[in-house]
Amino acid sequence: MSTVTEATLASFTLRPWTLAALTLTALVYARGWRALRAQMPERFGTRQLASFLGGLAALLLAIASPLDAFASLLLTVHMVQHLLLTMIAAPLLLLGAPQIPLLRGLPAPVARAVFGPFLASPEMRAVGRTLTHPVVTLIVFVSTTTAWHLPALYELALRSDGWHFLEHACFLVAALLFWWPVIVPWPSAAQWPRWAMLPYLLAADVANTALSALFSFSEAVLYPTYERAPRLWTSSALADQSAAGALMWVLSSIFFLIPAATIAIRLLTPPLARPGAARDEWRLAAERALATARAAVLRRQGRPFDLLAAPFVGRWLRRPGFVRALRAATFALATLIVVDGFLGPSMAPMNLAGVLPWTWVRGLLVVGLLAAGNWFCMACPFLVPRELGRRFLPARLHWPRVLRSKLVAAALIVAYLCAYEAAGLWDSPLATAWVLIGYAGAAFAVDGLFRGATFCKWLCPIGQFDFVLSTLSPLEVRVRNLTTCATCTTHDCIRGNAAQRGCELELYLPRKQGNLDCTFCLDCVHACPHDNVGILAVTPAADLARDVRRSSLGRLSRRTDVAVLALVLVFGAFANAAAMTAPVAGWMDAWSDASGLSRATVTIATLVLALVPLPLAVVLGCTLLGRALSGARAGVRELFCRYALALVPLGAGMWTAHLVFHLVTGGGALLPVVQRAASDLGVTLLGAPSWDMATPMPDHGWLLPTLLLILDAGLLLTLWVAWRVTLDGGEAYASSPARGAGLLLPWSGLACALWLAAVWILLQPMEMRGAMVHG
Amino acid sequence: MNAPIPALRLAKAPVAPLRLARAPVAPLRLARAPFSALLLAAVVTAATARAARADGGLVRASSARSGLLVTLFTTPTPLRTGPADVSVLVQDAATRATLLDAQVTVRVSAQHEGALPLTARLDRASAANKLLQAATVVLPVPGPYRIVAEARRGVARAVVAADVTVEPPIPPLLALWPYLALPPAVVGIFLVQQWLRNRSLGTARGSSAAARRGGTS
Repeated sequence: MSTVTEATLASFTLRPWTLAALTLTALVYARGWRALRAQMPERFGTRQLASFLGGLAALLLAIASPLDAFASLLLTVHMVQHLLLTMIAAPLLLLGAPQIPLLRGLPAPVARAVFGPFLASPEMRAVGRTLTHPVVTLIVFVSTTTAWHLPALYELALRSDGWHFLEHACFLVAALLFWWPVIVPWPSAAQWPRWAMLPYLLAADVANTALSALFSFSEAVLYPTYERAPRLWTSSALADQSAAGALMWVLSSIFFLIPAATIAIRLLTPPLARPGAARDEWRLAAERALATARAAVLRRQGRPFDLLAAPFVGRWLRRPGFVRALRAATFALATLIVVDGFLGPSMAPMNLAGVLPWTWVRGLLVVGLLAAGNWFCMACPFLVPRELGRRFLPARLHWPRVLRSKLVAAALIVAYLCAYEAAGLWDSPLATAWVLIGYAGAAFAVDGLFRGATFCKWLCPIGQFDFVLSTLSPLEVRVRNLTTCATCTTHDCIRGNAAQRGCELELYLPRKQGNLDCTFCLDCVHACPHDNVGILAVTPAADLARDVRRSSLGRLSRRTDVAVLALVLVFGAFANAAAMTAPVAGWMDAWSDASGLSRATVTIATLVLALVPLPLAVVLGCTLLGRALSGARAGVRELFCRYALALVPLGAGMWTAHLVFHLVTGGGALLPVVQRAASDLGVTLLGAPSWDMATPMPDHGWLLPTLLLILDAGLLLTLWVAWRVTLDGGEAYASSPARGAGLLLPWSGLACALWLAAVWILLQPMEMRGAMVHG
Repeated sequence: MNAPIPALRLAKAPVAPLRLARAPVAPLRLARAPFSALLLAAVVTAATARAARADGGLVRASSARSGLLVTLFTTPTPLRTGPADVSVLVQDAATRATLLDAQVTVRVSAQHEGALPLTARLDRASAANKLLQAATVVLPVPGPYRIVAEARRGVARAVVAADVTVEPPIPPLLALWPYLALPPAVVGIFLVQQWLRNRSLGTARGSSAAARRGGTS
């Protein structure tokens, strides 16, 4: 193969999002197909699966193969791309009868609660019937293909990514509609008799012939872009245009004639039964299958996913030694960070204490919490000094009742955020090392003197951050079967036994709700004599909308301290991110200059105001306003506590966007820092540090949109939780939908205002903390 | 021993921003309408939207010299401040065969006083179309620019130049509107979904009440 051919074939334009979307679609279809195949093997065979996957493959070929890379240079290639979309991908997708498999492939609650009302709506069904009526589909298809081939629109698509995308979307949707009456994907019913498809296909072929003839016989180049493009394999732009026309003419005609011939042959074949019987049987079979599928969707309430029952991963997680080994590894890593903080370079981007905790651990922590649960607490390095404290100190005292409140931890979080900003912790490896030592010392002393997991439950700021954000995670440590617990007499999950201690956070598993206060230590898993504790899948954030009695926590509607902790974390996300933007930094500089106060004092004053009085005043204002608008009977405290928790997803979105930004832009520093640390220890195997990697990674256009999507998800989840809280409150919250809207109004307004603030923050120039800039 | 460390300063320089109480649930009627298929089309097409065209784009200039035919492309169209893609196709002027082994550099200079030219070495690795050589250059300010691409292959050397105008960046809110419009769009769909669901539940309750009345009368 020549190098030019190799280069041509290597010209793929595959992007991760494209691959992820198509793979996800294939997986959802395959899941639904598998379930339907068990019920209706005659309807869902390998042919349907192959057709659908083939359609996706054709789609991928059209938009991510060399066809896409050369589409702006050769009209012929661009024409092949469009023919793949309209003549191959669309009919293959429909031959897979995708409606029911796609629905069955979705999680049952999503299929039922989200799509159910739309699918059952008479209006939507009428729109569907209209859209798939042969007259409409033919008009849409012909007009779409014709319009997009007009020089003005075609040139627009060649020049602009947005218009090019719209062009392809129009072609795909128009083609799916066009092929619908021809293929009639099960369980849809034909609106016209089969013979009518012959003139239907013929009409489309005539329109296509006219358009292709224009390309083939035109004596002028229709699209100036191709006239200016360099000639690769054709002699001239006109020859390329004629070839594209011929291709469109011949290939499209073949694709129109094959189904026409198939339909004609079937119509001419003598029926084996009386006329109409086949159609009746078809209809009855379809009705039976529909009823079966519907019953299956409604019945599907199987056991939730259990990570501990998963192959391989579950086995590893259930080993008691796994958690210990994990903690030992993170403790060793923390020790390395401390040593490097003391002995390594003082510049943060060159030191493990500068890069690992502030760029990597924070970023991975928040992503891990949202994606999988509180795995950081499971692997916490400070559990080692904690265990040492319990071994060498008495650990018999009880934590004073007055301090049994999350307010202590909230105050510590405020102190940490102030210290981080005013003392520039992120910029000082030495200070970072001292903070880690202080943290380990506090864990050693507190849990060495007091019983239980006092440090984790009442003091640890990182732990509280993890507890609150893990309410959004899709996994939860909980009992598999409550009936088993009802017959249990030992309650080892909380009391422990000779071999394994029980839950130190005082969570009694049968009454445990959500992830609050759960460190994922898996002690309860190992202690349970019935193997009745798992890591089960739950609906993210649903826990925030529930006000049930929780073991060790009680009702959250009465826990003002938990609400305040949540508010500090939510507003802390905004304050922490805003402080690194140029306008806010400039404003604090100006205040410092004008007042004569030191910059550190101004920073601390600003942060304390933003983290304590501001959120309390705003949230109390929303509570009072909502109560006045709705006439709610519920108390101010209850409304304050419950709706404050609804803001958690938005705060989590801000934390995630902020920390992912640092991880992506500054994460490259890890490799040279590890190389440098290894080199300092005499290990040269990793090579010399390549410090260029420590410079900030430029945004190539995907980072900001991704961060905005994270914020969007946070806002939508916050609005959803607030809505669910209102419903959960019942008559005590709102006696009518209008009053419910009144109660929701101030909270929705606050959420939108915070979202806008977050968008503003992301659009500002930012300090590239923890990264190097050459100069 | 450590590798020499370049002059560094800590970066403070701003950069461009880059189970709930179960409510009654309407029974699911599996519709014959092509809803899910159209949804599939929407999802697939939305997810396959391209963030930016990698290379190719608008032909800015073409020149044949010393047996080399050099074509200069830029993208996006129009050019705006920020990252822009410059790519070059080198061909044999006589046979139009693509030459993959040419060395190509590009110099981008803003046409105003005191502006420093940007120089970049183009390569195939940076190009999606592997017949081209490409590089990303960051255009700092709007205004007229001159782009000069030089291709060398052995002793043969060809230069192609183009004068281009770089426009100011699209305001961020305009450029990012799909991401900002997403929450209101989802809330709108949710409200329609809830309205349909409540109406369906109301109809179902009405029917069962009528049936009960019919049964008792």
